[in-house]
Amino acid sequence: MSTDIDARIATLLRHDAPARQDPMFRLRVLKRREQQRFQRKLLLLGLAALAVVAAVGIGYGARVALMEQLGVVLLCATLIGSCVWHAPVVAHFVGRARPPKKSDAAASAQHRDDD
Amino acid sequence: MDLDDAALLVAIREGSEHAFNRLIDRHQQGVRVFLRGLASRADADDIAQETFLVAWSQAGRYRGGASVRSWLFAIAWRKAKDNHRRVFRRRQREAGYLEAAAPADGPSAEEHLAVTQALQSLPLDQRAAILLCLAEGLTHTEAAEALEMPLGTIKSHVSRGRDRLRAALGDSS
Repeated sequence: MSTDIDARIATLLRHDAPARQDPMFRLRVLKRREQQRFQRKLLLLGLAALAVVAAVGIGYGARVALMEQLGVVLLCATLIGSCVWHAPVVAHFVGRARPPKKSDAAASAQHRDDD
Repeated sequence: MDLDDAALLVAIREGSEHAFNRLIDRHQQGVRVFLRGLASRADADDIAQETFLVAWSQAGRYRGGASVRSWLFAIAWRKAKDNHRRVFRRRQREAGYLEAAAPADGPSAEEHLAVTQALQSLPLDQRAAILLCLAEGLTHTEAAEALEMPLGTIKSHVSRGRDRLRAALGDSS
């Protein structure tokens, strides 16, 4: 009797369990991991660029104006390079920043309902 | 060859994508069922994703004392507690929504609603113990490891929680 009711409770607790195999969930995890990697790399590249600029600037203190220009060029080159390197992810972020089209919003709502 | 969980973690530590996919496929259902009992559905899946991201980045920290399953539940539990604190007020609103929007058809719908409401009324610790031991079939020892609670506390939580759920189902034995 006790086992029966425990089994019933277990069944009810797992009533809306997700599918045993859920590729969409796995893809969402992988996507978030790639986003995290991208953000980390971007941060590191930015910091590295700043460090280079600072080091060069300090080393050649007398030529500050020249070094500033060089630093800006270096920083821009680094940022542009990293954006090109991660073009698909950048495109994804840009897409998310834009307000969704009506059709996208409807598709998204449908997807949530399917979940 | 199907690697066991510990071997999967070793492979993940070395950067194996395949092992990470296998780990997700093997445990996503259990982790999500556990989290859905502790948070709203959307939050639960979000936390479940974060749980696997932590597993990926911290696979090297797994020392093999507890089972990998318990280790994953431990990560999920810590994240669920953070989430609980963060969205306490929102969760209260969602409990109201659940009451209003629960399905009303079929003989088991009432039972499901009764158990869900009884579960929501339990303290978070008790709920987590019930979900791990009754829904996920973990032993009391495994649940104690995952929730970082003494074994006696887990037993007491499960016993009391089970009584509440039985009462909700109209079982007085």
